[in-house]
Amino acid sequence: MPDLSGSVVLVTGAASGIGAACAQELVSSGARVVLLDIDAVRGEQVAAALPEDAALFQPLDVSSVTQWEAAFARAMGQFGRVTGLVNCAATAAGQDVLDEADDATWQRILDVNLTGTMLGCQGFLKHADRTTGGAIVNFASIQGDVGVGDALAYAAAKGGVRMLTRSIAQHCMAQRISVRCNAVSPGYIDTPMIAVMFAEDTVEEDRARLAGRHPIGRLGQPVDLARAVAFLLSSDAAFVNGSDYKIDGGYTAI
Amino acid sequence: MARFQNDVALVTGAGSGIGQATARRLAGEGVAVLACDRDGAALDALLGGPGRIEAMAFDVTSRKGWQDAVTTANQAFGRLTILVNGAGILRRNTIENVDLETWNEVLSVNVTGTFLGCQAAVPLMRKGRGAIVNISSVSGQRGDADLCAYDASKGAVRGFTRELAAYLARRGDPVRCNAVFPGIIDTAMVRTFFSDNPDAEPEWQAVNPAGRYGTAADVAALIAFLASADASFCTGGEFNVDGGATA
Repeated sequence: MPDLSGSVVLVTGAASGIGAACAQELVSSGARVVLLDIDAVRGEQVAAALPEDAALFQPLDVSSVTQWEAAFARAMGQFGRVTGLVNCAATAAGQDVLDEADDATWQRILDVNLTGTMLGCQGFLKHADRTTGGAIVNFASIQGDVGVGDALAYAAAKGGVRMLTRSIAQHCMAQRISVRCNAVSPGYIDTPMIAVMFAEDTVEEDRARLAGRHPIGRLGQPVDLARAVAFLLSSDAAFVNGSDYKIDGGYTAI
Repeated sequence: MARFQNDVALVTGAGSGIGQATARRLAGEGVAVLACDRDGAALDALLGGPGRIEAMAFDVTSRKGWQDAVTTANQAFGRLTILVNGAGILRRNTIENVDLETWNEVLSVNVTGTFLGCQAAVPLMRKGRGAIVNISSVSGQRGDADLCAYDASKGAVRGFTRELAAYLARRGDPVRCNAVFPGIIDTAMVRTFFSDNPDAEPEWQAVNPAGRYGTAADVAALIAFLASADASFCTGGEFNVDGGATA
């Protein structure tokens, strides 16, 4: 487990699934974490299960500039600095295909998954120490890389996150800002978010079929992502920048 | 819980650079390591340090050498769970001046050596568990004007890694296979290349936005992650450690 003591990391989407696992893993690695989520009830619960001096919850709609400002202000006020950002918050729709796409769903998925990530990165570069440095990990997706046929807006947003990540890495290097920016691309991970893909009466069959699309033969677990995120935030990844790490059980290998 | 539990690694190219740093890093995390290199004397630097490290000299282009190495690891430590194909060579040439002898030399070490290692190690790993880490390069992802054979070899490692990962996973074998893609790393191989080809370094620097070269330890840290249980959902992946060179 990498040593993240001294780190102060903001994690979005921290109320459930991968974000919650990231918050837990980072605290275990010695970081102090600001958990952020639009769901304040569950976010408070996840934070309450972590050591009080290492974790706090702040409600955040990632598409809101003013709420991002409040999140950074809270982190700076409580812990004195920010050294890491994990943009994990994301949303998906059950029917995300061309013939069903409505403006509101399209816009919501882009706002949360792509614009929310950009706003977080923008805030981080404003508040992080540009000399002592920091690290950002954005959540892209295998669906930002390969078409799956049922994730139209989601694929657009995640493809955007992949290139946003590389663009930020290039910017920071060109400006000699010592912030690294990388992405992780999960396969299908066993979280509440993928439950929208399962029909009510065939949940187990649908889940098995989805697992079978990964050569490794199983769905990912949130901790699989949390450990990759901890690696990328740590000094073990000091020479890793602008990369996109697939954590996908071989999904994109084939 | 430690991310390595009763692991045994076979690391080639361990006489210098990335292989050597990887052997050190794994041994430092409690992994028993069979450190291998064509140049046996180069392995002395690893002996007597912390951790359990045994040394063995063999040539990765030799099938017999690989069989002996895997047998040695199994006899010395009772199993084999990690294979790091660290051996590699770098030669300067373009499509117009590459001779067949050099081309074959580069392919046999970088590609065939990796293939032979996987073929020798997988039967043992599949009985328990395994993680293979191959060394590709950013040169396997984008072209360099003067590294014709090297680029082809690293592209081959890239494709081979994905294919092997898919094959093993589809069979249900508990063996993962990933590749790392280093940028310019400050190793003996690269330093020798620059001293032999003084005009090459400025060209390379132009595609190295980090402002520094990576260290062998930077790459070893990523290899250790991929070899460990922390990466148990990673297979067939491409993991860059290139200071932003491919961003």
